[in-house]
Amino acid sequence: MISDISFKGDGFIRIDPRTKMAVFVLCSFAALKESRTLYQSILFFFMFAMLINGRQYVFAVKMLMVYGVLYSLNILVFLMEVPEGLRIFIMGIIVFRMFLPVLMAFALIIKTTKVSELLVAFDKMHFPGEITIPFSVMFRFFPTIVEEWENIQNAMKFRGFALNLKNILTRPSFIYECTIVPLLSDTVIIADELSAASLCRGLGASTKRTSLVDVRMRMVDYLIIGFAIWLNIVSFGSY
Amino acid sequence: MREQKLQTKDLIMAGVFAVLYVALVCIMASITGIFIPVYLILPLIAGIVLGPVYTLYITKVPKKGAVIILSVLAGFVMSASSAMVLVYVVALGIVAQIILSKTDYSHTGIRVSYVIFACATEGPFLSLFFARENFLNVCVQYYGQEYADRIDAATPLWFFFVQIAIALVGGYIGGRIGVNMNAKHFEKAGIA
Repeated sequence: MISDISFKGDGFIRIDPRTKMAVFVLCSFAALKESRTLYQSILFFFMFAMLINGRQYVFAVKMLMVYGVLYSLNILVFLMEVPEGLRIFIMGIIVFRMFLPVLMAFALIIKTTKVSELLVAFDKMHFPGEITIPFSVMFRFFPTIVEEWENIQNAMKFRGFALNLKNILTRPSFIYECTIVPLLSDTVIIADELSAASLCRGLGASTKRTSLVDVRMRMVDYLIIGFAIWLNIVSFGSY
Repeated sequence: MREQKLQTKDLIMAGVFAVLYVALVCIMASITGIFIPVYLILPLIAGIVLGPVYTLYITKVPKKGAVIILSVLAGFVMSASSAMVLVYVVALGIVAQIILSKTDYSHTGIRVSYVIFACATEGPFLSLFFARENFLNVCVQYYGQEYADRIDAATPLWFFFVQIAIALVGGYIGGRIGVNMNAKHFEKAGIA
């Protein structure tokens, strides 16, 4: 019997999709509060470690660089006299830094979770298929839609009616039609291809599906969630 | 036409269209967010732009529960500010679904149900009127104090009804465009 199967792209320590989602929610909670810089940094490096574990090296290092720049700007504001107008701008940047962990948690779900894993996890939580299948499709296909959107815009630019403010104001209905019609056609075609692929994987079958991937909550998962909750509690009220 | 149960391919269609719906709302909100007067009539613009999306979706999946699934997914993403939004959007989805089922998914039925469902884009603004403090705090975080003050000054409570009204108008225009666009493009191309 095959007890467990692993893929090339898997993380060093396998993390349950449910844990990733819990971490995402907890990160959003933490970001909504104006917590101390210390806890923000702990949260950031925690997410950094999670990304490294998921083998998202390039993205993680990019985030680290952004964080470094934003952090030094923050220090600069405290050390130097900055004009009032610029100060508001920099405060905006600091808010953006608070939201970095949320962005990273979202990327962690999108980039490191396979749809099959997600479906198994939902199945174990006894959600009905009517919600979990559209939801999994949604999570996975945000990047695809963005890509299609860029392609359509390029095609429009190429033909001389780019999606810019001037064109939107001068001939709105024409621009609107040129954007929405290819977008909708693409969407329908993608959906058709996808359902063909999923039928091959037996998603339409009436019996319970089995999975080769062993998805379950391990000790590590509980530790990670516990850590995230702890971080929320200690940062609460410590302005 | 007899209503059938949703199958896997319908559910996948629902997911893909929900992505499109939510992505368009997000794009419009972030573009119009720069100009406050335009931002406040977002329900009108969104109603018009999303009309064809809704119409094509219903034409592809004319089954019981299709709109409810779309409303749950869209509401889930839009409810970042409060859970109230999810309840509101899902309630609209249920009403729209009942209208659709009663009218057998005819063109008129689709248009009437879309007038109702277009109010869903009012969702993110709900907390502006019913949880004002909270909404303005989020505004301060994202855009700064000055922006929040201007939003505060521009929206007395009666403005809520104005927004609902323009959402209904947007829904009417959007539904009309959507049905026409189906006939003009998608039926010819064999997609709808």
